Amino acid sequence: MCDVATVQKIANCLGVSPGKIQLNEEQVVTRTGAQNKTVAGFATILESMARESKSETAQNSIVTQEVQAQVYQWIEFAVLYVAPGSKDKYVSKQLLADFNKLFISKSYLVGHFITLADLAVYYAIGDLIKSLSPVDKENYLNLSRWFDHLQQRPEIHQGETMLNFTTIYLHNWATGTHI
Amino acid sequence: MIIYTNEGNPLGLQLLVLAKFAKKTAQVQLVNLNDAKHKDLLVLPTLELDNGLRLFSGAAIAKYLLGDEGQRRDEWLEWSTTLLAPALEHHMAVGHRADPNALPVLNGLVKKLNDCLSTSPFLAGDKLSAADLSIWCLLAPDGTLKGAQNVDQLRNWYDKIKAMPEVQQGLKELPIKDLTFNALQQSNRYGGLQHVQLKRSSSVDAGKLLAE
Repeated sequence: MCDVATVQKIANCLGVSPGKIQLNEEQVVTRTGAQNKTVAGFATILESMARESKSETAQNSIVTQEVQAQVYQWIEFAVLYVAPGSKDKYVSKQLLADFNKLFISKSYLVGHFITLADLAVYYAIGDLIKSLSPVDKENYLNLSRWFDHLQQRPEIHQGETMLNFTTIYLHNWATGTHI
Repeated sequence: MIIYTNEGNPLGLQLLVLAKFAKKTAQVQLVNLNDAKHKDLLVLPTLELDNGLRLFSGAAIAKYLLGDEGQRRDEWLEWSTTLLAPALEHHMAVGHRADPNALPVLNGLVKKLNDCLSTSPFLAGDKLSAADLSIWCLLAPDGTLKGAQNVDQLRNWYDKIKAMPEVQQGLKELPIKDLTFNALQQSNRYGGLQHVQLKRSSSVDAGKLLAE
Protein backbone atom coordinates (compact mmCIF):
# COMPACT_ATOMS: atom_id res chain seq x y z
CA MET A 1 0.00 0.00 0.00
CA CYS A 2 1.33 3.47 -0.78
CA ASP A 3 2.42 5.87 1.95
CA VAL A 4 -0.08 8.58 1.02
CA ALA A 5 -3.06 6.22 1.32
CA THR A 6 -1.76 4.73 4.58
CA VAL A 7 -1.23 8.13 6.20
CA GLN A 8 -4.78 9.06 5.22
CA LYS A 9 -6.15 5.84 6.74
CA ILE A 10 -4.21 6.34 9.95
CA ALA A 11 -5.42 9.96 10.19
CA ASN A 12 -8.98 8.56 9.98
CA CYS A 13 -8.20 6.03 12.73
CA LEU A 14 -6.92 8.80 14.98
CA GLY A 15 -9.77 11.16 14.13
CA VAL A 16 -7.44 13.96 13.04
CA SER A 17 -7.70 16.03 9.88
CA PRO A 18 -5.16 14.55 7.45
CA GLY A 19 -4.44 17.94 5.89
CA LYS A 20 -2.77 17.78 2.53
CA ILE A 21 -0.86 14.49 2.03
CA GLN A 22 1.44 14.24 -0.97
CA LEU A 23 4.91 13.19 -2.10
CA ASN A 24 7.74 15.74 -2.22
CA GLU A 25 10.52 15.89 -4.84
CA GLU A 26 12.39 13.10 -3.03
CA GLN A 27 9.23 10.91 -3.20
CA VAL A 28 8.89 11.19 0.57
CA VAL A 29 5.38 11.54 1.97
CA THR A 30 4.60 14.98 3.45
CA ARG A 31 1.68 16.40 5.38
CA THR A 32 0.73 20.04 5.25
CA GLY A 33 -1.64 20.94 8.04
CA ALA A 34 -2.84 23.99 9.90
CA GLN A 35 -0.86 27.24 9.35
CA ASN A 36 0.74 25.66 6.28
CA LYS A 37 3.14 23.75 8.47
CA THR A 38 4.71 20.82 6.61
CA VAL A 39 6.05 17.61 8.13
CA ALA A 40 8.08 15.16 6.01
CA GLY A 41 8.48 11.41 6.52
CA PHE A 42 6.00 8.63 7.31
CA ALA A 43 7.05 8.04 10.93
CA THR A 44 7.51 11.74 11.73
CA ILE A 45 4.01 12.46 10.34
CA LEU A 46 2.49 9.67 12.44
CA GLU A 47 4.14 11.12 15.54
CA SER A 48 2.80 14.59 14.74
CA MET A 49 -0.72 13.21 14.33
CA ALA A 50 -0.47 11.33 17.61
CA ARG A 51 0.24 14.60 19.43
CA GLU A 52 -2.90 16.19 17.91
CA SER A 53 -5.27 13.30 18.45
CA LYS A 54 -7.48 12.67 21.46
CA SER A 55 -8.05 9.04 20.45
CA GLU A 56 -7.21 6.12 22.70
CA THR A 57 -4.64 4.80 20.22
CA ALA A 58 -2.81 8.13 20.05
CA GLN A 59 -2.81 8.63 23.82
CA ASN A 60 -1.50 5.10 24.34
CA SER A 61 1.33 5.75 21.88
CA ILE A 62 2.83 8.68 23.79
CA VAL A 63 2.25 7.57 27.37
CA THR A 64 5.97 7.27 28.30
CA GLN A 65 9.35 7.82 26.62
CA GLU A 66 9.88 4.06 26.52
CA VAL A 67 6.54 3.46 24.80
CA GLN A 68 7.21 6.27 22.29
CA ALA A 69 10.57 4.76 21.39
CA GLN A 70 9.08 1.30 20.87
CA VAL A 71 6.18 2.68 18.82
CA TYR A 72 8.63 4.54 16.59
CA GLN A 73 10.81 1.49 16.05
CA TRP A 74 7.84 -0.60 14.87
CA ILE A 75 6.69 2.14 12.50
CA GLU A 76 10.22 2.16 11.07
CA PHE A 77 10.21 -1.65 10.94
CA ALA A 78 6.96 -1.53 8.94
CA VAL A 79 8.54 0.93 6.47
CA LEU A 80 11.95 -0.75 6.10
CA TYR A 81 11.12 -4.45 6.28
CA VAL A 82 7.40 -5.29 6.29
CA ALA A 83 6.17 -3.33 3.28
CA PRO A 84 9.22 -3.96 1.02
CA GLY A 85 9.92 -7.51 2.27
CA SER A 86 6.35 -8.71 1.74
CA LYS A 87 7.06 -8.91 -1.99
CA ASP A 88 9.86 -11.42 -1.46
CA LYS A 89 8.89 -15.03 -0.76
CA TYR A 90 11.76 -15.76 1.60
CA VAL A 91 11.52 -12.51 3.55
CA SER A 92 7.73 -12.77 3.90
CA LYS A 93 8.09 -16.18 5.53
CA GLN A 94 10.62 -14.78 7.99
CA LEU A 95 8.36 -11.80 8.79
CA LEU A 96 5.31 -14.00 9.30
CA ALA A 97 7.25 -16.36 11.55
CA ASP A 98 8.78 -13.51 13.59
CA PHE A 99 5.47 -11.71 14.14
CA ASN A 100 3.74 -14.98 14.92
CA LYS A 101 6.35 -15.63 17.59
CA LEU A 102 6.04 -12.12 19.05
CA PHE A 103 2.28 -12.52 19.40
CA ILE A 104 2.58 -15.78 21.35
CA SER A 105 2.86 -13.80 24.54
CA LYS A 106 1.23 -10.49 23.69
CA SER A 107 -1.88 -9.04 22.12
CA TYR A 108 -0.34 -5.79 20.88
CA LEU A 109 3.15 -4.85 19.69
CA VAL A 110 3.91 -2.39 22.48
CA GLY A 111 2.72 -2.76 26.07
CA HIS A 112 -0.75 -4.13 26.68
CA PHE A 113 -2.68 -1.68 24.57
CA ILE A 114 -3.25 -0.65 20.97
CA THR A 115 -0.79 1.93 19.62
CA LEU A 116 0.30 3.42 16.31
CA ALA A 117 2.80 0.55 16.08
CA ASP A 118 -0.09 -1.87 15.54
CA LEU A 119 -1.70 0.38 12.93
CA ALA A 120 1.52 0.87 10.94
CA VAL A 121 2.30 -2.86 10.86
CA TYR A 122 -1.37 -3.76 10.22
CA TYR A 123 -1.56 -1.66 7.06
CA ALA A 124 1.92 -2.71 5.91
CA ILE A 125 1.27 -6.44 6.32
CA GLY A 126 -2.35 -6.41 5.06
CA ASP A 127 -1.61 -7.52 1.49
CA LEU A 128 0.61 -10.33 2.69
CA ILE A 129 -2.03 -11.62 5.12
CA LYS A 130 -4.63 -11.37 2.36
CA SER A 131 -2.51 -13.70 0.20
CA LEU A 132 -2.40 -16.45 2.83
CA SER A 133 -4.34 -19.68 2.43
CA PRO A 134 -6.51 -20.92 5.32
CA VAL A 135 -3.77 -23.42 6.19
CA ASP A 136 -1.15 -20.65 6.26
CA LYS A 137 -3.37 -18.53 8.47
CA GLU A 138 -3.57 -21.42 10.83
CA ASN A 139 0.20 -21.90 10.81
CA TYR A 140 0.52 -18.27 11.89
CA LEU A 141 -2.25 -18.53 14.45
CA ASN A 142 -1.03 -15.79 16.83
CA LEU A 143 -0.45 -13.31 14.04
CA SER A 144 -3.88 -14.17 12.61
CA ARG A 145 -5.49 -13.58 15.99
CA TRP A 146 -3.86 -10.14 16.28
CA PHE A 147 -4.83 -9.17 12.73
CA ASP A 148 -8.41 -10.41 13.07
CA HIS A 149 -8.79 -8.60 16.38
CA LEU A 150 -7.65 -5.29 14.86
CA GLN A 151 -9.76 -5.60 11.69
CA GLN A 152 -12.91 -5.87 13.83
CA ARG A 153 -12.53 -2.22 14.79
CA PRO A 154 -14.59 -0.09 12.36
CA GLU A 155 -12.05 2.76 12.49
CA ILE A 156 -9.37 0.32 11.30
CA HIS A 157 -11.11 -1.68 8.55
CA GLN A 158 -12.78 1.49 7.25
CA GLY A 159 -15.34 -0.34 5.14
CA GLU A 160 -12.83 -2.70 3.45
CA THR A 161 -13.79 -6.36 3.08
CA MET A 162 -12.85 -8.23 6.23
CA LEU A 163 -10.49 -11.17 5.86
CA ASN A 164 -11.87 -14.54 6.81
CA PHE A 165 -10.16 -16.32 9.68
CA THR A 166 -13.06 -18.57 10.63
CA THR A 167 -11.46 -21.89 9.65
CA ILE A 168 -9.10 -21.29 12.53
CA TYR A 169 -11.98 -21.58 14.96
CA LEU A 170 -13.41 -24.51 13.04
CA HIS A 171 -10.13 -26.34 13.47
CA ASN A 172 -10.56 -26.28 17.24
CA TRP A 173 -13.50 -28.65 17.22
CA ALA A 174 -13.03 -30.48 13.92
CA THR A 175 -9.33 -31.16 13.77
CA GLY A 176 -9.68 -34.45 11.92
CA THR A 177 -11.75 -33.05 9.08
CA HIS A 178 -9.57 -30.04 8.49
CA ILE A 179 -7.09 -29.62 5.57
CA MET B 1 23.48 -0.35 28.59
CA ILE B 2 24.54 -2.99 26.08
CA ILE B 3 24.83 -2.47 22.31
CA TYR B 4 24.44 -5.73 20.41
CA THR B 5 25.83 -5.28 16.92
CA ASN B 6 27.46 -7.28 14.15
CA GLU B 7 31.03 -6.75 13.05
CA GLY B 8 31.61 -3.66 10.93
CA ASN B 9 28.06 -2.31 11.14
CA PRO B 10 28.17 1.52 10.83
CA LEU B 11 24.91 1.71 12.79
CA GLY B 12 26.63 0.08 15.76
CA LEU B 13 29.04 3.02 15.83
CA GLN B 14 26.00 5.30 15.58
CA LEU B 15 24.49 3.89 18.80
CA LEU B 16 27.82 4.05 20.59
CA VAL B 17 28.37 7.71 19.64
CA LEU B 18 24.78 8.63 20.60
CA ALA B 19 25.30 6.96 23.98
CA LYS B 20 28.55 8.90 24.53
CA PHE B 21 26.83 12.21 23.74
CA ALA B 22 24.03 11.27 26.13
CA LYS B 23 26.73 10.59 28.78
CA LYS B 24 25.63 7.00 29.20
CA THR B 25 27.94 4.04 29.49
CA ALA B 26 27.38 1.44 26.83
CA GLN B 27 29.22 -1.78 26.37
CA VAL B 28 29.54 -3.12 22.82
CA GLN B 29 28.95 -6.82 22.20
CA LEU B 30 29.68 -8.16 18.74
CA VAL B 31 27.14 -10.86 17.90
CA ASN B 32 26.05 -12.98 14.98
CA LEU B 33 22.34 -13.36 14.23
CA ASN B 34 22.88 -16.96 13.13
CA ASP B 35 24.02 -17.80 16.63
CA ALA B 36 21.17 -19.64 18.40
CA LYS B 37 21.85 -17.55 21.52
CA HIS B 38 20.67 -14.44 19.68
CA LYS B 39 17.63 -15.78 17.91
CA ASP B 40 15.43 -13.25 19.71
CA LEU B 41 17.25 -10.26 18.22
CA LEU B 42 15.40 -9.09 15.10
CA VAL B 43 17.60 -6.24 13.91
CA LEU B 44 21.19 -5.23 14.69
CA PRO B 45 22.25 -3.07 16.30
CA THR B 46 19.93 -3.44 19.27
CA LEU B 47 20.36 -1.38 22.42
CA GLU B 48 19.51 -3.02 25.74
CA LEU B 49 18.68 -0.46 28.41
CA ASP B 50 19.58 -1.04 32.05
CA ASN B 51 15.93 -1.91 32.73
CA GLY B 52 16.12 -4.69 30.13
CA LEU B 53 14.10 -2.95 27.43
CA ARG B 54 15.50 -3.54 23.95
CA LEU B 55 15.31 -0.99 21.14
CA PHE B 56 16.51 -1.58 17.58
CA SER B 57 15.85 1.68 15.74
CA GLY B 58 18.70 4.22 15.70
CA ALA B 59 16.22 7.08 15.29
CA ALA B 60 14.06 5.89 18.18
CA ILE B 61 17.16 5.47 20.34
CA ALA B 62 18.44 8.96 19.41
CA LYS B 63 15.14 10.50 20.43
CA TYR B 64 15.04 8.44 23.62
CA LEU B 65 18.62 9.25 24.70
CA LEU B 66 18.83 12.88 23.64
CA GLY B 67 15.21 14.04 23.99
CA ASP B 68 13.43 16.59 21.86
CA GLU B 69 15.67 18.56 19.51
CA GLY B 70 12.98 19.77 17.13
CA GLN B 71 11.10 18.59 14.07
CA ARG B 72 13.94 19.14 11.60
CA ARG B 73 16.14 16.80 13.58
CA ASP B 74 13.38 14.17 13.52
CA GLU B 75 12.94 14.55 9.77
CA TRP B 76 16.69 14.14 9.18
CA LEU B 77 16.79 11.05 11.39
CA GLU B 78 14.02 9.44 9.38
CA TRP B 79 15.66 10.53 6.12
CA SER B 80 18.93 8.95 7.14
CA THR B 81 17.30 5.60 7.95
CA THR B 82 14.86 5.33 5.08
CA LEU B 83 16.73 7.06 2.22
CA LEU B 84 20.45 7.40 2.91
CA ALA B 85 21.18 4.02 4.52
CA PRO B 86 19.37 1.95 1.81
CA ALA B 87 21.04 3.96 -0.99
CA LEU B 88 24.48 3.42 0.57
CA GLU B 89 23.86 -0.28 1.01
CA HIS B 90 22.60 -0.67 -2.58
CA HIS B 91 25.59 1.25 -3.93
CA MET B 92 28.36 -0.20 -1.81
CA ALA B 93 27.17 -3.81 -1.90
CA VAL B 94 29.77 -5.93 -3.64
CA GLY B 95 29.36 -8.07 -6.72
CA HIS B 96 26.30 -8.61 -8.81
CA ARG B 97 23.95 -7.14 -6.27
CA ALA B 98 25.25 -3.60 -6.73
CA ASP B 99 22.43 -1.45 -8.09
CA PRO B 100 23.30 0.86 -11.05
CA ASN B 101 20.46 3.19 -10.04
CA ALA B 102 22.00 3.71 -6.61
CA LEU B 103 24.77 6.15 -7.53
CA PRO B 104 22.51 8.84 -9.10
CA VAL B 105 20.17 8.53 -6.11
CA LEU B 106 23.10 8.76 -3.71
CA ASN B 107 24.49 11.82 -5.50
CA GLY B 108 21.11 13.51 -5.02
CA LEU B 109 21.12 12.72 -1.30
CA VAL B 110 24.72 13.91 -0.84
CA LYS B 111 23.90 17.12 -2.70
CA LYS B 112 20.98 17.70 -0.35
CA LEU B 113 23.31 17.34 2.63
CA ASN B 114 25.90 19.67 1.11
CA ASP B 115 23.21 22.26 0.21
CA CYS B 116 21.79 22.18 3.72
CA LEU B 117 25.25 22.60 5.26
CA SER B 118 25.91 25.59 3.00
CA THR B 119 23.19 27.50 4.82
CA SER B 120 23.60 26.28 8.39
CA PRO B 121 26.51 24.87 10.39
CA PHE B 122 24.61 21.73 11.38
CA LEU B 123 21.83 19.77 9.71
CA ALA B 124 19.03 20.87 12.01
CA GLY B 125 20.27 24.46 12.47
CA ASP B 126 22.90 26.19 14.58
CA LYS B 127 23.32 23.40 17.07
CA LEU B 128 24.74 19.92 16.81
CA SER B 129 21.96 17.32 17.04
CA ALA B 130 21.51 13.56 16.88
CA ALA B 131 20.86 13.99 13.14
CA ASP B 132 24.46 15.10 12.55
CA LEU B 133 25.83 12.17 14.54
CA SER B 134 23.59 9.58 12.90
CA ILE B 135 24.32 10.75 9.37
CA TRP B 136 28.03 11.18 10.08
CA CYS B 137 28.30 7.52 11.09
CA LEU B 138 26.75 6.47 7.75
CA LEU B 139 29.26 8.59 5.82
CA ALA B 140 32.18 7.44 7.96
CA PRO B 141 33.03 4.10 6.28
CA ASP B 142 36.11 4.42 4.16
CA GLY B 143 35.34 5.11 0.56
CA THR B 144 31.96 6.80 0.89
CA LEU B 145 33.21 10.35 0.33
CA LYS B 146 36.56 9.33 -1.13
CA GLY B 147 37.15 11.12 -4.43
CA ALA B 148 33.89 13.06 -4.16
CA GLN B 149 33.84 16.56 -5.67
CA ASN B 150 31.82 19.73 -5.00
CA VAL B 151 31.04 18.69 -1.45
CA ASP B 152 33.22 21.19 0.44
CA GLN B 153 30.63 22.11 3.05
CA LEU B 154 29.91 18.45 3.67
CA ARG B 155 33.64 17.74 4.10
CA ASN B 156 34.09 20.62 6.57
CA TRP B 157 31.15 19.36 8.58
CA TYR B 158 32.49 15.80 8.36
CA ASP B 159 35.89 16.84 9.75
CA LYS B 160 34.28 18.95 12.49
CA ILE B 161 32.15 16.04 13.73
CA LYS B 162 35.00 13.58 13.44
CA ALA B 163 37.16 15.73 15.72
CA MET B 164 34.61 15.72 18.55
CA PRO B 165 35.89 13.84 21.62
CA GLU B 166 32.79 11.63 21.92
CA VAL B 167 33.18 10.57 18.29
CA GLN B 168 36.89 9.91 18.78
CA GLN B 169 36.12 7.76 21.83
CA GLY B 170 33.57 5.79 19.80
CA LEU B 171 36.07 5.27 16.99
CA LYS B 172 38.58 3.81 19.44
CA GLU B 173 36.18 0.93 20.07
CA LEU B 174 34.75 0.64 16.55
CA PRO B 175 37.36 1.97 14.11
CA ILE B 176 36.41 3.40 10.71
CA LYS B 177 38.57 0.90 8.86
CA ASP B 178 36.36 -1.98 10.04
CA LEU B 179 33.06 -0.44 8.92
CA THR B 180 31.35 -1.80 5.80
CA PHE B 181 27.94 -1.58 4.20
CA ASN B 182 27.98 -5.31 3.61
CA ALA B 183 27.60 -5.54 7.39
CA LEU B 184 24.13 -4.03 6.98
CA GLN B 185 23.14 -7.07 4.94
CA GLN B 186 24.00 -9.30 7.88
CA SER B 187 22.15 -7.08 10.33
CA ASN B 188 18.73 -8.73 10.03
CA ARG B 189 16.99 -11.76 8.49
CA TYR B 190 15.07 -9.65 5.97
CA GLY B 191 17.86 -9.19 3.41
CA GLY B 192 19.41 -6.14 5.06
CA LEU B 193 17.99 -3.06 3.35
CA GLN B 194 18.11 -4.67 -0.10
CA HIS B 195 14.33 -4.73 -0.50
CA VAL B 196 13.85 -1.05 0.27
CA GLN B 197 13.14 0.58 -3.07
CA LEU B 198 15.34 3.54 -3.91
CA LYS B 199 13.39 6.68 -4.64
CA ARG B 200 14.61 8.64 -7.61
CA SER B 201 14.26 12.35 -6.95
CA SER B 202 12.04 14.14 -9.45
CA SER B 203 14.14 17.31 -9.36
CA VAL B 204 17.00 17.90 -11.81
CA ASP B 205 20.00 15.62 -11.91
CA ALA B 206 22.40 16.30 -9.04
CA GLY B 207 25.36 15.73 -11.35
CA LYS B 208 28.52 13.86 -10.42
CA LEU B 209 29.59 14.22 -6.80
CA LEU B 210 30.68 10.86 -5.51
CA ALA B 211 33.42 8.92 -7.25
CA GLU B 212 32.15 6.15 -9.53
